[in-house]
Amino acid sequence: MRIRTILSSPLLHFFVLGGLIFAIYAIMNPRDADGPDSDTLILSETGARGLVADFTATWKRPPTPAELETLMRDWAVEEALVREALVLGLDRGDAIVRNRLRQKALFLAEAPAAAMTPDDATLEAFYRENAARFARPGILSFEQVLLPDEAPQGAIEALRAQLENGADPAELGRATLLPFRTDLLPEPAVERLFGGGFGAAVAMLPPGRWSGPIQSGYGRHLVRLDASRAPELPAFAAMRDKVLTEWRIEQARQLRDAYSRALLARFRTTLPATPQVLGP
Amino acid sequence: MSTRVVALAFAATLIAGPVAAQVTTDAGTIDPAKVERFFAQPGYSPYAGRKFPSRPLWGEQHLHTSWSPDSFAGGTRVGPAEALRYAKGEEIVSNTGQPVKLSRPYDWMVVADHSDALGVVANVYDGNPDLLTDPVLKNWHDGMKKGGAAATAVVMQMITMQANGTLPKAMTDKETQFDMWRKMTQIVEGYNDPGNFSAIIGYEWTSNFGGGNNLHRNVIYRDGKSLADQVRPLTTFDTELPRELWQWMANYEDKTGGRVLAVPHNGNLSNGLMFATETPDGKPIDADWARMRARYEPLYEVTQSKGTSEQHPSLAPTDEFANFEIWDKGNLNVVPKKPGMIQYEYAREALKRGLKVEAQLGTNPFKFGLLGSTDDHTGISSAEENNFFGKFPSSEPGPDRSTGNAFDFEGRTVKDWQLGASGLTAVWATENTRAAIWDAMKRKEVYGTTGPRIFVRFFGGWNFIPEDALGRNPGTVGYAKGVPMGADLPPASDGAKAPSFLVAALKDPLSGNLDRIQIIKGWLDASGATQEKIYDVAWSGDRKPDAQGKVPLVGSTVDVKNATWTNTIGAPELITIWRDPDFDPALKAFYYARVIEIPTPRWTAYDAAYFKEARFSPDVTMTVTERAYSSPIWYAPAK
Repeated sequence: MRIRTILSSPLLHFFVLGGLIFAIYAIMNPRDADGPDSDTLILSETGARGLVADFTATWKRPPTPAELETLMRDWAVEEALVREALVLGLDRGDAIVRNRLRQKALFLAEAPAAAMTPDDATLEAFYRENAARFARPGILSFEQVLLPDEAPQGAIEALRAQLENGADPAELGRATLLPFRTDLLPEPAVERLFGGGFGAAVAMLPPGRWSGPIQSGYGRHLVRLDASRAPELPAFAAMRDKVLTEWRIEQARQLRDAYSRALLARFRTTLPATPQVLGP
Repeated sequence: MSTRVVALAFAATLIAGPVAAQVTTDAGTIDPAKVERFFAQPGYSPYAGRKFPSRPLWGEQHLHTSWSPDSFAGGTRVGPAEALRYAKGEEIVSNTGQPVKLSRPYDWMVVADHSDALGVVANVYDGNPDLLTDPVLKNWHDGMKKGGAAATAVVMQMITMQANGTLPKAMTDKETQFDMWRKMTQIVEGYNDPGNFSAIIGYEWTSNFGGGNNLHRNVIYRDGKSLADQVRPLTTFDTELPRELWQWMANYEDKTGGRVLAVPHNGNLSNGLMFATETPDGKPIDADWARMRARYEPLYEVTQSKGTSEQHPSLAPTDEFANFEIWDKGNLNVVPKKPGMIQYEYAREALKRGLKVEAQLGTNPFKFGLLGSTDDHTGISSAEENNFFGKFPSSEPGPDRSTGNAFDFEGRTVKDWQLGASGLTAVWATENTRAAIWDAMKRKEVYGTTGPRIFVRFFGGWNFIPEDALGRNPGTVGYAKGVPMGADLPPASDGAKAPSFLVAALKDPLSGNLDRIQIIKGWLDASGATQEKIYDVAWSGDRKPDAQGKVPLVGSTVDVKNATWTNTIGAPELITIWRDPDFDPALKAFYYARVIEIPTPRWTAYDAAYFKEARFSPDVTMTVTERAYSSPIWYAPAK
């Protein structure tokens, strides 16, 4: 092959021109020392102090020189791996990476809620709207006797008469591990012990006498309600901090939704029709 | 101080409560006979001085919400606030849009999101004065304070400025990044309601040492936000070695004056590492390692949605109840197990091995109590068979979970139907506060169930008599004459030949009757080998034990097709006094109670009945024998 043939080869022209373009690009765009293409790993003193701060936040003491050495070497390993992974595009299409970014963006969107401080009228209105969430449960004090499974009505009435005459409920009825006497227990706790509906049924009883039978998860009971306090909504002032927490959580939710909607509105979104994808 | 006064004071502390019962005294030698006298003469009022816990507090210490990255990636959108509201009994909307509510509220809960997720996210809005020097941020801050439309306008502006690249530098500055941990503790703090509901601070340290070998621990705080915020949670980016977690815990306690404990879980997925006698990085465990583990890990999560780790059937061939919700294919990545791994993965085996290690190292590193929790990743703690909301959004109720895969690693799969609606913890705490619940956990006065709220009392002592089982309040006699679950038996009383146990159980009012109570004993024999034996001690009906003492099976009333059963078999409650017939005072031992329900429909049966499109294969388990596991009581010969 002669020199002239080589010089006139389009392939050579291509390489020369291409090389020229790369050279000019390199001059115009000096390498970013921190960029993914850089062949240097430089940890600034500020960066290293950041590692110290992270370590201190976890261990409540600064690292020893040996520990800092390890942290910095590990930083270099991580930085090298991350750069390589980015060059290889390993972040793309990764559900974990995408979801983490999505989650962080949402955290960012809702962050303002943590600083929102509404006036008391707003807060109190929210409190009233969500009264059920803030109400204190009713409280019950009662005694109970578990009836034998097949106790006929006559036997139940005899038992009731005995109880009304001051017999000790702990000695009557079916032996059971259930407490025969319950003092100042919140209604949900009563339902946890005796089964759903029992607390509500007891709360309805006339106080001071043996009523029932009332059905629990264990059988039928005679019950004497001794004292009760109805569920109540505490004064707003006493609950202000809790209401503010919940109000902020609600604002955060609204901000997340608003942010997603606003963000989406910035794009022209084109989605294929479902039959095109799934077939008719 | 005269001997009599010392004895009085000691008797008073013993009666006062379970904490005091374990406190040693520096007041000198106590004459047990004198103490006995005071026990024998209780005051007239059965309630005076009664400070012991009278009802178990139900909850869970292992729930993940959308703040765990694996949950979020799996589609979980229920965050910590909604998860806590659900635990308090409110109805919420699940990740797949279905309304869900607990049958009964919990008394307490720990949201335990992976610490690796609780990283740092820019948060410039909490009124940090340094940031407010930036006029744009100041403007936003004021807008947000107004709330409503003004706050929304800020968000819109934020998007625009971000698009134009004109965001204030402070927003993207690393120095202003803020710990998500503080945001988490803030939410938990907001739901803590002492007396009614304890929202307890915690996180999961998620070590998968060597690739999917489950060494996870839940770290549980006794403290509130003010202490928990002072130290950043340990992540597995920091370390994957448990001993370094314990160092971190010691360090937290030293620096803040707070208290933490850790609960390991899923030994069944650790491929031989959870209770190994060498560390994950291959060093033999030593005395210091054993002391640290015993100090920081008083509990073990024995049952949860990814299987039950009490005992593997191959290690206890005569235990007819061992084959229960077993996951033994591999580790978290379904890397298959090798022979010999299983003996280092299960709780009963570890409790036995602990006695052996104690003989060598001076401390029993595996002296743990037992509890259960769901490990659900849906923000919805669900351990009820008829109310099971799955482990991930993909296993929320729907026909797909009849055939779907819960885990799929290169074709190595675990099916959705193998997930268990399992894991709940009862705590014998004196009151419903973070501190009281944590203290009960620390002294191991807790027990775990596979979901139902079975009431279990378990006391050990030297002079329980059969009449003690006839009383109607086992707590009173139990604390007066013995120690509760989780404790050590005191030295033998004069003349006592063998320890006796008061054990009682009451069914969950919404679940099945009780089949039987068993006491499971493990011990170190004279040759130093570990042994175990299961005793049926109380059972329903008039079944007769066979020559080996085994009570025949109770039968089943389950109608799988309709997902129903009847409580026509079993008993609503069981109580007995049991004395160890094989006791040797020279040998170390432990005892725990296992309470077995009659068979009831498994969640798969409820699904098959509800979803017409469900396609469960014929090998799917359709019934379940729910159970409760008490924490053990340990015996050691006097030195």
